[in-house]
Amino acid sequence: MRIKSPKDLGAGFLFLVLGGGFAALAPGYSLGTPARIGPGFFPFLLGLILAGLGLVILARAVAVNGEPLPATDVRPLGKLLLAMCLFGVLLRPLGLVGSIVVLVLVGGWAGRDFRLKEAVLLAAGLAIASAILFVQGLGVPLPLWPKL
Amino acid sequence: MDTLANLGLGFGVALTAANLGYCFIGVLLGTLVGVLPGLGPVASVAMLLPITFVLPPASALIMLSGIYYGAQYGGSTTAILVNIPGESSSVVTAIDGYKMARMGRAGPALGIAALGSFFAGCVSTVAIAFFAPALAEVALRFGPAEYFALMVFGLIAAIVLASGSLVKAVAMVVLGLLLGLVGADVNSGVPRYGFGIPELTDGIGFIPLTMALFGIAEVARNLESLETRSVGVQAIGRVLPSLADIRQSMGSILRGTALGSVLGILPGGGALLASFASYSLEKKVARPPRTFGEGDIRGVAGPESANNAGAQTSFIPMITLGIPSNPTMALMIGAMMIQGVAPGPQIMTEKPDLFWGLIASMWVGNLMLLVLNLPLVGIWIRLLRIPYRMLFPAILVFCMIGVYSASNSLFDIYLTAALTLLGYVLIKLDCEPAPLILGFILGPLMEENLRRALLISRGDATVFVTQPISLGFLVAAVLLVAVLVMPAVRKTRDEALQE
Repeated sequence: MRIKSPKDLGAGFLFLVLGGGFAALAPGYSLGTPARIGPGFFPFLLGLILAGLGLVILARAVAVNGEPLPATDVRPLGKLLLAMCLFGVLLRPLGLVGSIVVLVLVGGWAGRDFRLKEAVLLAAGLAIASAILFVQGLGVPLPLWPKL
Repeated sequence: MDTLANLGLGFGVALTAANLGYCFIGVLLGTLVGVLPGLGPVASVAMLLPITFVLPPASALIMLSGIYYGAQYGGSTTAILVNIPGESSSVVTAIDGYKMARMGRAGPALGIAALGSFFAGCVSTVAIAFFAPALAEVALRFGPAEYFALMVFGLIAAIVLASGSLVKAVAMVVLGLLLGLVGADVNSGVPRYGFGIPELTDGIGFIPLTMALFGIAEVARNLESLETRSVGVQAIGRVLPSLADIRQSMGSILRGTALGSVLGILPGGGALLASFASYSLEKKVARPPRTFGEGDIRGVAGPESANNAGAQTSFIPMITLGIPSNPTMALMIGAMMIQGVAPGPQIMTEKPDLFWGLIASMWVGNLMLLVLNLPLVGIWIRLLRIPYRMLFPAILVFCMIGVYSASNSLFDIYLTAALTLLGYVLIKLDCEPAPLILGFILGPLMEENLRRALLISRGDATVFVTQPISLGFLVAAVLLVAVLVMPAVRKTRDEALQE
């Protein structure tokens, strides 16, 4: 068997696994009876449908020609995710200003032509702007500076 | 007359100083964000959602809808000036609009787009005022079985327009429904798919999901593919279209408005379908037809009027039925729910000030757009020159603070990261995220109506096909799918979406 559409293969597999997973866990929440459906009933039904659609897409992957997988460079995504997680970790200990600077510097590094000087200026500007807009203006309860 | 009295009430709400201010801020911010490269209306509304949480419901909705048509207009501006449509509904605007800009007629193109949109906005506001109460009346008689069938039909109709594979779009809807079910079951309180994480008992947050899918995952995709393009902006020239321009566009604006208003009401309709349909209609009726694609002003006037009319009348099913016809409407429903307002036919009797205030504000917002955009177009152009490497960190910051401020929970930040990863993978596999968000919004609602329908029928599943209205919706849904699967229709659809 030859894979004609790698994108469909990936998508079909993903939907099959996700649908199967949802359906497999659903009976644990009780399916109930037809007249009184339990919390597991609708997810069970949907999980099966999703898994079924996954199979259809998988079948298409070997039957119909499709585009090849696009050239993928996961580095920008990885850096964005890293920046987001760092922001989560640092937000409370470091305060809003500091964590935004980290977010912008690490996130900005994901871009193609990262310029440190520009990024520092941008970070400072965004930190000040968000402090004014969100904390002062909208009253989001966030510490601005590190707790000493 | 009732409608007039109601509209009076609406203008009473919309014309308070505070709401005028929020409408103005919304329109301004919406245009500003909509003009920025790589940010369409969905992303704009998603990113600006958290700002509205502190407002009372009516003001929040007024500001959000201002953001929506502001962003829509911003998208058309970029389509005309630099051939980068902000979203799919302004794709056709770019065809003749950009040609006009290259011929030094960017000004009249922008002007006619604004005038056409304003005219369409006026007409469709009146259409909403008359049509929405009638539809709500019908919907009030729907039982749970009818509602369930209507949602099935609405979801199917909405994805018919999703470009790309139909099976994948259906799968994305189902995945969205499933994600919407995560969290404690309303009836039994059983936590579902929480994996012992206490924060997931409340379900997956609407804000983390939209920020992840339409904000950050999109950034990740852009960073990979977006070339650092230098945006060559054409000279604008005088903005006011000449009398001859207006005379030539008159018919197109009228036809576009009528077409858009009707198509917007249909589930799955809205701005996108309206603009495509209007462009092909104009091309057909135009004498001489050759000038289309060569910078014909009618090719801008028609679709722009149609997409504004459609964008506005798509509020009708959203607000009276609670059924989103496109991702932006899904965001509006999400925003209403966060505000504690449930969209549906009861909204008109329970919150008349909110409903009619929103409608009146649409007209006000359109007027503001007209007044705002023509003189400010110079500023919008300068925004176009902001390089993406400075823009995307700002998007990142906005999304992160937005996520945190919506829930004050660090968990939601990590959840956003996880959903970004999911969104990125799905985008890479050609699965558009728009259908997912529609399912996500409707998941709990569908489950509740399914449960009630089966309860009333004592577990008899045939209730969905023995009730005539319910059967009608289901047959219509099946027909839609069947028609789409037919090869001939498929081909035209793919061609139309590609055009």
